[in-house]
Amino acid sequence: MRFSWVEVEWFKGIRSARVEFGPGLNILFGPNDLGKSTLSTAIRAALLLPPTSSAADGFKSWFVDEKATVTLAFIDDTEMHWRVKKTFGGSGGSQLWHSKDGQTWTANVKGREVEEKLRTLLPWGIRSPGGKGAPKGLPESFLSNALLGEQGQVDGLLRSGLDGDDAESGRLALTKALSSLAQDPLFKKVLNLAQSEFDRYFTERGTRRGGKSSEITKASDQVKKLQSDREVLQKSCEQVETLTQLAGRQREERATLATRLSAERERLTALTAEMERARAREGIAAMAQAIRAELQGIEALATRITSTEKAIAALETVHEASKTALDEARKSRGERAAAVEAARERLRSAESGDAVRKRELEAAQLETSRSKLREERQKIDARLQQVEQLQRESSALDAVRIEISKLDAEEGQLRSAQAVAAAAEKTLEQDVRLAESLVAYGRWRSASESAEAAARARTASKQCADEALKKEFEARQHETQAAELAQKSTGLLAGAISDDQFETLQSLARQIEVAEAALGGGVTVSVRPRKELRLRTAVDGRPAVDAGLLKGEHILEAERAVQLEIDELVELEVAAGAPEQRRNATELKKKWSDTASPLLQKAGVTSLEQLKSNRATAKSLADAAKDATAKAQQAKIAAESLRERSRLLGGQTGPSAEDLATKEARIGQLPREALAELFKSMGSSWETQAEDLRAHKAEELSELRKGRTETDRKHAEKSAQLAEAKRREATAEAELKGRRLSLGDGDLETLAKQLRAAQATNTSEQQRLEALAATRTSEANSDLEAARHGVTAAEAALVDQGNLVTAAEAKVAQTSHQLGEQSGVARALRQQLQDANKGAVEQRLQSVEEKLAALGPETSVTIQLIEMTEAGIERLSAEYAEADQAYQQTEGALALGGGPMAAERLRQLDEAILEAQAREHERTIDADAWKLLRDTLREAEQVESAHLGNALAIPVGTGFSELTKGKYRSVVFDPNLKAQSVVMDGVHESGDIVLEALSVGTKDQLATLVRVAVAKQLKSALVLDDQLVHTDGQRLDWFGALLRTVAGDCQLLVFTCRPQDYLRSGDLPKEEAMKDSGAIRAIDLARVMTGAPRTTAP
Amino acid sequence: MTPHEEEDVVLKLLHTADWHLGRDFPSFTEDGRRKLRHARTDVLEKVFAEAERNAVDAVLCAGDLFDEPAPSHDWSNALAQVLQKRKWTRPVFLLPGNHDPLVNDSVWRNQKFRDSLPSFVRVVEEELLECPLGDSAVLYAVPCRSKAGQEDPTRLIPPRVAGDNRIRIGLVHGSTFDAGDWQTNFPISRDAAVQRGLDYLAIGDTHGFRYVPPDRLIPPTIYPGAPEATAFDEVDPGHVALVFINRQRRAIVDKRRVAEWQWETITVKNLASLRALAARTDLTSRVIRLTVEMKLPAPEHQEAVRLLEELAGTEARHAKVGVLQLRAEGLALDVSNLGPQVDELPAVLKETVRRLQELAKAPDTREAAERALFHLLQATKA
Repeated sequence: MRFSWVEVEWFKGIRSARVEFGPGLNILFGPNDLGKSTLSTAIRAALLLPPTSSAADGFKSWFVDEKATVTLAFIDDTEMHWRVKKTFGGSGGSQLWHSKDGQTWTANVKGREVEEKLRTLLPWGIRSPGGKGAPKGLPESFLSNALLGEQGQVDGLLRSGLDGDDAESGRLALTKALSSLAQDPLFKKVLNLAQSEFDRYFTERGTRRGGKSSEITKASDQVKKLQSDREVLQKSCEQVETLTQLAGRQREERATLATRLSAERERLTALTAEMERARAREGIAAMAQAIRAELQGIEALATRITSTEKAIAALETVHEASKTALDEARKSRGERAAAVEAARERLRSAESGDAVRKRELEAAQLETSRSKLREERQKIDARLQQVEQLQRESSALDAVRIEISKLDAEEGQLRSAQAVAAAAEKTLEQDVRLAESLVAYGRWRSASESAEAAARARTASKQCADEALKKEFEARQHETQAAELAQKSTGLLAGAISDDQFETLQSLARQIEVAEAALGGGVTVSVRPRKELRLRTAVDGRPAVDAGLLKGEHILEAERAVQLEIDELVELEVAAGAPEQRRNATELKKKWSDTASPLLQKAGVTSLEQLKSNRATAKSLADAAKDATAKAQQAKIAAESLRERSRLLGGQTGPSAEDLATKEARIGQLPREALAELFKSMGSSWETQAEDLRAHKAEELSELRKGRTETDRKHAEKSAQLAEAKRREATAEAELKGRRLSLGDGDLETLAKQLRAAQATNTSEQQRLEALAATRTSEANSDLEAARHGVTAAEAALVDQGNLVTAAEAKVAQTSHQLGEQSGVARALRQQLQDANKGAVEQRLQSVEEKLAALGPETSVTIQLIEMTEAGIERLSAEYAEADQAYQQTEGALALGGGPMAAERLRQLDEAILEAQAREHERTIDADAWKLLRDTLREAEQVESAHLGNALAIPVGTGFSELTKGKYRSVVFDPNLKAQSVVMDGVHESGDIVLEALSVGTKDQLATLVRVAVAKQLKSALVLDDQLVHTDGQRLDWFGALLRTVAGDCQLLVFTCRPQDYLRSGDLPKEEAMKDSGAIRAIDLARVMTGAPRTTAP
Repeated sequence: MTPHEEEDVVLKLLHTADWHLGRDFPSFTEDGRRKLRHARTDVLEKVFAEAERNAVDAVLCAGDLFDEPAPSHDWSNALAQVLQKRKWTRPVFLLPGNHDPLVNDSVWRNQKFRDSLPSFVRVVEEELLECPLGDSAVLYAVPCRSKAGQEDPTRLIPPRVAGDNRIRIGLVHGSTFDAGDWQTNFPISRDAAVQRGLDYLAIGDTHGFRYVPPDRLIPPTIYPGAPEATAFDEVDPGHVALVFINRQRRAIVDKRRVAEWQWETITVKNLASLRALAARTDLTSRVIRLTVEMKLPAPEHQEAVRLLEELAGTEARHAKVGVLQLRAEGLALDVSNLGPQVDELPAVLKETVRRLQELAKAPDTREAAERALFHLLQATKA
């Protein structure tokens, strides 16, 4: 604690005063009766006295009827500013404010709570006011007396101890502060080191530090980060492994489907080929059938030729017979001519009556027979005529049939050609449709891919934009963080000292430590008083303390020096170590006071450790700010890049859905897989290839259709001719059949032959009868008649025979004509047969039959089977496409996942985690070790070290010994800090006797040493009001030096009327109220107080 | 190679791979990480110097040249600078691998980087690059287009057709079924060179120099390995392959070491071994994983600590070992034998030592107590 300023109004003899204190040594000087002690009292009252206390009655102004008011500002150990204002008298009043900077104040508490709060802030062993048994008046305790004690309380301080306090807070504070005083330097060094390391790792309460600067936290955070990264990566790896296994299965599934699909396609190809073969076989079979029909026609023609030839042969027979008959007729005519001559002879002989009558009867009988024969002959002739007519008509019918056969063959050929052309047309139409679908598919697929690419680009664009937003947000966060960190860093370094200065300070601190350690040697002074005397002791250069009235032996132990002042009789100083080292230490301390304190003040800190901590924190903050700035920059660059990428991707457009649908509709019903396969096989020039294919097939189709029209026309013509021939055939057949029925069964030729034979027989019979008649006439009419008749008959027979000759000649001519006709028919038929070229037709038939045989037997393949197979392929293709898509998706995910790369990173991370865990463990063990060491050191110290009295005896005894130049070697305090004895020249005096034995001045000095030691250890302000008035100049010099040294550790307010005891002449203010010289502030109270006569500086 | 064979050589190639520029080494200290990162670019000077010294006709870089698709600009700039120093006409083929595949945001698509590459550098971007190497040879190169894949990259290389008597070289990146516990990535058939009619198949992925298959069948298929190792467990890293191909199209492969750093794993179990290690003079170019397993009395323990500090270095002192990964948790202090130093201590510290020795007997506090004793002895050392 240290005071900032105090304001006093109407307080006893002071009308008003305002004093601002320096952090080090403050010499407040003024003449007697100026009010120095009043000011001191005011400070004490502000901190300790409730305003309504009766003890405040005396604070009333001497000049006016105003209430005394004191306002005191001070800074606690945590650097918090406090301002307390108390108005004494009557109802009084008090209020407490706090502030972080001493400028802006915030009300804290007021009234009764002010005292309670002050007791907490200043743990000096004073209980809160009020309650039963509460002290009246100004509360006192060991520490309140030590730090703010009034003039004349010297004895009280040395004789009283902590056991007189009414609260334990003073003991606790002192125990904490004094414990380090009793330590061995080496122990202290180790403890300080352990404490320093402990502070790095732990808070004051012993919990591990968790801030960003904590090394364990850093190591732990690193482990956590690496483990978190590993967890993410592990998941990724697991996903990748799962995906890899999935991809393997999908690949196998796809391969199985591909094999099945391939087998099915092969099967379809085989079936299609079989179907094509069947179609080709059908065409060829039809062709063979037509050729066979043609061949049958030819064979029918040959048959007709044979029958015609037979007819010709028959005719020739008839003709020969006719010629024979003609020859016989002609011979018979000659014979009959001879018979006429014979008859005419016989006439001449027989021209008598009997003979005439008999001849007439016989002639009449013969005439009847002849008449019958003539009738018969007429019938035979008519019938023969009919038969011959039928024969002629039959020949004509045969000719018609030959024509039909020929027409039928031609029509069959044309029909086959039509069937072949139709099949070819269908195939070409399919090809054209396929080519068109292929073009449409290609265009649809290109458009679809463009659309997909555009969609992907849009998605990616959006993702990039989102990412960019995140990065920009990150950048802003990092910038803000960087600014805050930089500001904090700058704030911590404000007013900071340079690195060189800092190094100088560290070096100086180390030198002081070394110099102090070098002084160590150990001194034990035993004071054994022969009578009760008062002893003041100072140990190891610390301010002297009053050991009280010594009665028994008093032992002082010191590291370096003991000073004893026994009553005012003698001063003893016992010192260890070489004088040069002592001088060296003193010089170094002075140097510290001169150089280090202002620098620390400039840096706004009270200790080097605090400065170190601030610098480390500032550096850490600055580094963190740089990191944050770098991260912000990186995030900005990333955001910019993402924006650009988003813009580029977002600009890509694809075809519309309508366009796609239109293009897809143009593909038609063909299976997509087949199209995709073809499309894939065409490669990049698919469009040209597909267009060429379509155009080529369309041209082929057009040509085919032209040819087919011509074939159709010819076929129609032939069909019409065939129909006409068949009609004629039917008509002829019908007529022939009707007439044929009337002729009875049997062959026409045979019938004709029979008829002609009957004709000949008839003719012969007629001729015999005629001859017989003539004979009878000749015989009946006797010679004459018979002769005449014979003549007539012979003449008639001769005429008849002449007729017969004529008839025979006619017959010969007729048969000759018929023969000519039949021969013509036969020639025509043979010509037809020759034209038909049976050999060529048979060759054609053989060729066609060979082709048919080559095409194998008829197939069992049906369209339904092919369609079923195609449907199966379609299903398999869909399954394959689905499996392929799934596989491609998995592969895509795998490609993103990184596969072995992720595993490699995982291994790296595992190693890094092991190392980080080792580092964390190392840090943890180190931290635990330092904590354990510190705690164990303290425990050992508890066991080994002395009580508080011994601790206080070290600085007090050392100082006292030094002050008294070794007269008093040490001072002994009891555990409650009551002075027990001083050790003087080997005599150990103890108890009040010793203290009593000391002079007033020496007791005053010893008490001052105690107070300074306490203030230094507590780092608390100390008020010395007209102390050391009984001290000689030499000791005053010593005290002056001591106070200047101690002023580096705590604030000192020295009220004195003799400033020259502490200040060099140059340090005194001249015209101004105060003057600062390094850590010393000289304050001319006469210039800051009113209501008192002005004084001048001595 | 005999002089006759040398005369007969018609094509010389330098084959390298797996530079892994920009790779981080998170298990090392910051200083070690920095050194190891920079070693990857430093070694490239030696790689290209080897190419220059042997006057090769082309340099084939078989993938994983960067550790990730889009590394920091520092690494792409470093590569560009190394290449810019060469005043070459011989082509250098940079092949994207699975670590740095040819994806959209990869370094290969970075126009600034591409602009900074000299004209003799050719990044393989085609699905299949077919590039003549003079009149009598042709190179077929297939880049990786993703981080992982199950297709053999050599399948895209057309087989040799009858009458083609040129020297045919393949350049791909992938695994030949040696990825251990991981699924094979970009699998390359062991007889891919034969199937594709290649006279030499240059591949990358594995970090150690290796013939594939190991019986060294002709034509050779080679992993040159990483020019600088990336891990302790790698077998025979640190090389490039010099390939000489003669008129008969026979390829002869010469393994050349280019690495600056050598990686070692050492375990010391006694002070003598540690002293011997500290006395070695070749440690500056070593990356060492040092495991210490020994329990020592205080003076020896202090010496061991000092030696380890010498090896690892301190803020004020350079490390003896180039890069050290120290596992010293096995170095234990024999607390029952703390030596004469304790006798000289003041009583309070002796008491402290005694208490800590007691605590060192309990399993829960053993480690901390041993370490505390160590600190105490260090702090009170004369």
